[in-house]
Amino acid sequence: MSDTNITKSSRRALLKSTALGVGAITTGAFSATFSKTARAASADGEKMGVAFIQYVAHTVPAAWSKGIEEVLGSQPNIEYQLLDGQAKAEVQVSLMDTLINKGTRVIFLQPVDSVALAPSIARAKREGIAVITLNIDATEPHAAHIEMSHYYGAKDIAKVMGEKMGGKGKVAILNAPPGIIIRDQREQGFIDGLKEYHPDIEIVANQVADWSRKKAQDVFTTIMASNPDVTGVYGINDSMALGAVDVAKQKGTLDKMTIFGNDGEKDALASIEAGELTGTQYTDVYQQGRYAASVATVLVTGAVSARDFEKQGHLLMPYIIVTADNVSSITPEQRW
Amino acid sequence: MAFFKIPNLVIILLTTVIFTIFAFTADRFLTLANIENILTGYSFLAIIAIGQSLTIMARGIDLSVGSTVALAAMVLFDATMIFELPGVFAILIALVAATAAGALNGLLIVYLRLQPFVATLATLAAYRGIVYAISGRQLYPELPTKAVTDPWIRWLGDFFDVERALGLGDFISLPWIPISFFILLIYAIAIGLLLGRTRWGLNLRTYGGSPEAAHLAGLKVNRLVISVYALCGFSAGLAGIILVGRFTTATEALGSGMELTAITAAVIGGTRLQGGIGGVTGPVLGAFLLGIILIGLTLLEISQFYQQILTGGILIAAIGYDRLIEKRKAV
Amino acid sequence: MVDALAALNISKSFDGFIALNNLDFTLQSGEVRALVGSNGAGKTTLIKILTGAHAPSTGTISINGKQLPGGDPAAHISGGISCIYQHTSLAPNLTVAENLFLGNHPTNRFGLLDKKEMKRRAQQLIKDNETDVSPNDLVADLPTVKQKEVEILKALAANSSVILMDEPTAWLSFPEVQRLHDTIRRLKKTGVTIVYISHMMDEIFRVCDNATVLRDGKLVWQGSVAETDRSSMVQHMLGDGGQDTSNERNERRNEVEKGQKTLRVSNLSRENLFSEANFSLYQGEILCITGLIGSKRSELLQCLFGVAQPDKGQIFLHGIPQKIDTPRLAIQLGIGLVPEDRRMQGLFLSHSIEENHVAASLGDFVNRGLFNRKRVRTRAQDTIRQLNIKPDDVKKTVGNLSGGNQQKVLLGKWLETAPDILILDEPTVGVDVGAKNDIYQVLQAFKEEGGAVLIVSSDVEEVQNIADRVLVMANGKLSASFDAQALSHEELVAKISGESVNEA
Repeated sequence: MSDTNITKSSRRALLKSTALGVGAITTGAFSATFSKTARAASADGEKMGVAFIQYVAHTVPAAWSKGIEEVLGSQPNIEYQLLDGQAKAEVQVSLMDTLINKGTRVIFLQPVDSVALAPSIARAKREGIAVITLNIDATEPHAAHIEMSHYYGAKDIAKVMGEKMGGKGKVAILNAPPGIIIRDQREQGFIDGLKEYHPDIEIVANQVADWSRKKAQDVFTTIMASNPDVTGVYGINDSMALGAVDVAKQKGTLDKMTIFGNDGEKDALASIEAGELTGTQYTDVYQQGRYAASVATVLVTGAVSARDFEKQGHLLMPYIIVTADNVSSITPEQRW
Repeated sequence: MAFFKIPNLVIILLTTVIFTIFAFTADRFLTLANIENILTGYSFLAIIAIGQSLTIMARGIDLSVGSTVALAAMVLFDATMIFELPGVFAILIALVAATAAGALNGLLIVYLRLQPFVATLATLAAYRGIVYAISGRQLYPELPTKAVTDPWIRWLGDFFDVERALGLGDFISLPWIPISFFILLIYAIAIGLLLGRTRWGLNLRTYGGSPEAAHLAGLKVNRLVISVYALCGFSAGLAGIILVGRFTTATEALGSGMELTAITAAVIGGTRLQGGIGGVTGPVLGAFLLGIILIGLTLLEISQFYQQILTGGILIAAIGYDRLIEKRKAV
Repeated sequence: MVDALAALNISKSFDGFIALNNLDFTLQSGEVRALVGSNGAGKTTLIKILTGAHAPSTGTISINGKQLPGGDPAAHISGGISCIYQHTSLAPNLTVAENLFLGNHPTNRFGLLDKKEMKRRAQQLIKDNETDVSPNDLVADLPTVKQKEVEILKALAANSSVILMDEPTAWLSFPEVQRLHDTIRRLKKTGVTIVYISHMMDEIFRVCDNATVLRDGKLVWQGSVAETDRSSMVQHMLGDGGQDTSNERNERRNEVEKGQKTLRVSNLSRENLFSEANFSLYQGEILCITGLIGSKRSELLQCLFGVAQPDKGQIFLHGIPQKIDTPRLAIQLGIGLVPEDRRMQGLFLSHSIEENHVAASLGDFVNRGLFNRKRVRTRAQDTIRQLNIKPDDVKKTVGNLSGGNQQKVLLGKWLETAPDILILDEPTVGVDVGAKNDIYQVLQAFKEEGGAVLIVSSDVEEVQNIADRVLVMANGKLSASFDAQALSHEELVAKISGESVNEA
């Protein structure tokens, strides 16, 4: 948990000022622990492979990949490849095997399953290949894990949301299906945040809406029917929060409601600007990709072998809680 | 005509040709590691394809194999992680569960007179639902991040060092052969014997060639069909436990979409969709041919979207070829 | 003496419909018994009960005094009853040897198949019965004739004392029929009892000892064939309303004048199949092409209908040369084809009569993109009436109809397309006498309205009955046309067997 100090201190920093170099500097903090037995530097002119195996085609990994390409594109000796895991562990494992055989230097991985990919990561390490996981960690220690700040973000959401609600009232959570760590972290952060900052606010409903806007509309309609006095909603992702907005708008109760989402995708920011959604946690996902890429750059050009990792680097992304007050500070280039 | 009568000749030639092409064009295709990857990545699929080819030979199809893979995997996971049973028993229970799932498909087809397509489409959804319901990873918060450690199960995902076993390590290098490939070999020989040398196999081929003939000959057709689906379920179960050995866990979504790949492998391997004609070697070669193509294309850095289109194209080509032969015969 | 087969008090009803009504059917050892009756008389039901495919509602079946359980095919086969069906009941993907011992393959002491023993026994059986096949032949590669012979061997392999033969000559040519009859006579000598189910009267009189006639699920006549004749047998089958109309038609035939030439075929050839085919077809005539099975007549028809392409030669329609490369084009040009294998090529067996009826003329029933169901129904009902299709319900599934009625549905489908030329390939195979007459009448009416009919038929009797002119095809070569009536039965048979075709 020593990494959390870095994050806490840096999270209020203005995102705009977070320069590319910061990622590299942060990386330096743990790259110092690498042993000196380095992998033989490749011959001049030979391209070094870097690949990203995404969970499944989606806006978040697409934004990561864009960020990664931005950085790696400036390095002529690196060849970057995006591969699709098709949401299947067996596909990701097979792709890992192929990349290991190819001698890829760094693999970015958004694992479909934290355990199922662990043997593949171990194998990659044996071959001296660095693995960097994005958002979803793996049980096998590896070079680095870079994730959005799920727990602290959700805690901050609880704080800001409680302030908007005047420290009292009833809230509902629109949740993801169980079995995903992100869900547990965000849910726990939100509950802990309310307990700490606004103990008078009561959680009256916590229901699964499958990450989906459509499903959230149905679920929230039933919640409203049994709890008409709900005034606050927390959607574990933006889509579900926007589903609640749809329902409130239709019932004409939007002005009495405080609705928060999570992630900070383009549609959510637009909705905040339109005065509908109250707020969300925003993470610059492009930036997350750039961070990952700069870590990779260090690993590739620094000629460090993955076999020598003793400790896993852990980066939590900086974030801001966006409301109508500060939404304009997020530039169009930062929206994803 | 004689040319077409040599069993599996076309698929053997095709596999050789494609392998050779990749060996020359794709960097690092002809490496020991890549051979290992092909064997590890596709042995379990070959096992499913063998089972699938049995149902196709019986004029049916089993769309639920992917869900059955996950069912066996999850039963195994629960048995070892929650109930802490020794690996051997856990494996046995998982195989029994998968066989029962297959037999249920057969029962639905025989006694409710459902089309195999419809019956197994229904169980595809139902078995997947059961997997989520019984998933120990969802019932116990600490299990999603815990790996299976039982040595029996881990052994399934292990490799066998041929060189060292033969004492040849100093002279040549051979690929490490995955245990799953040995399981495939033994299973393929067993099913091959069953098909070629037993009444059951001949009855299956009779039924596939002409259900009417089988019925008129007084064969116990219902029992035959149920046993075919049970065996297909068993094959999926075998694949499921191998995957747990390899992944050290069971994911809820394991095997989704695998039915299509297995059907493709079976059909490329010369299993005729009209029933009656098929075997063991064909589907196994079919599965590895798919593996060679997909891995080769990934090494060539050809987009996976094209790979998926190509897989569909291969299936169509295989069926088209099958029809062509049929047509030639008719003239 | 104990009866070889004794089926006593047999009744069977389906959903209230009585298919068989208290029937006694007993045979002596070595007897050849004809079982005749028109559509729906109950023959098929009786066969299914004897083979164990259906359990009788009442009654008992015994072989040589030993009672069989009923409704258990395996027990009936091991009890000594085998059946040779009109449509082959062999598995096409298996070898002859594998088929011979279906359900009862020899195994070794490990429970594995004993392929050597199987082949040895198959070889022995083939030798004993002078059959020209090899145990390793794939059934799918054998011609129909040999498949029939394999089926007989299969029955013998199961040690059957009673063999049922359902339309055994349906797909056979004349010499092959004779060969089959020789086999039957030989089996008879060894004490095998045979039930011969057929619509072919002359065959019955040639090979059978006795005959049983069924009508509406009841026994109407039984006795020695020596004591009756053809017309009274038909009378029994059809009941009071029936009569053999073939003579009447003979008289009518010459009344129709030759119309215009609609189809002319010039030097049509297809490699290894047929060569230099030349003939013309006129409006208002029925032209028959006869010959042995395998004389490539069907292949010639396929070229006319666009299913296959000729290598050489031309087809003229109304004097204009046409290249018919798809069946669709053939239909547009006014040609209809009623194919040989109606179950496989002509009908959608799982669909209703009305759906089949309009299958070739869908376009005519679509108005501004909408399908006119009502008109379909009326048209199908008209045809049912016209062709005397039973059951007369447009919604009935075609697969459940008898052979004769299926053929009528198929014929109706093509008449619905209002063709100029109707081509029929073996139109009355497996069709009973009553339905045959209905089909002949419809063809006659079509011709009288100016239609041209081209029929391929191996049934000499049929050819003589309906043809205005006849062509004989042998080994892919066509003879000149002649008037079938001018020849005697024997002369025509001689021509078919190839004795006088060489001159053509």
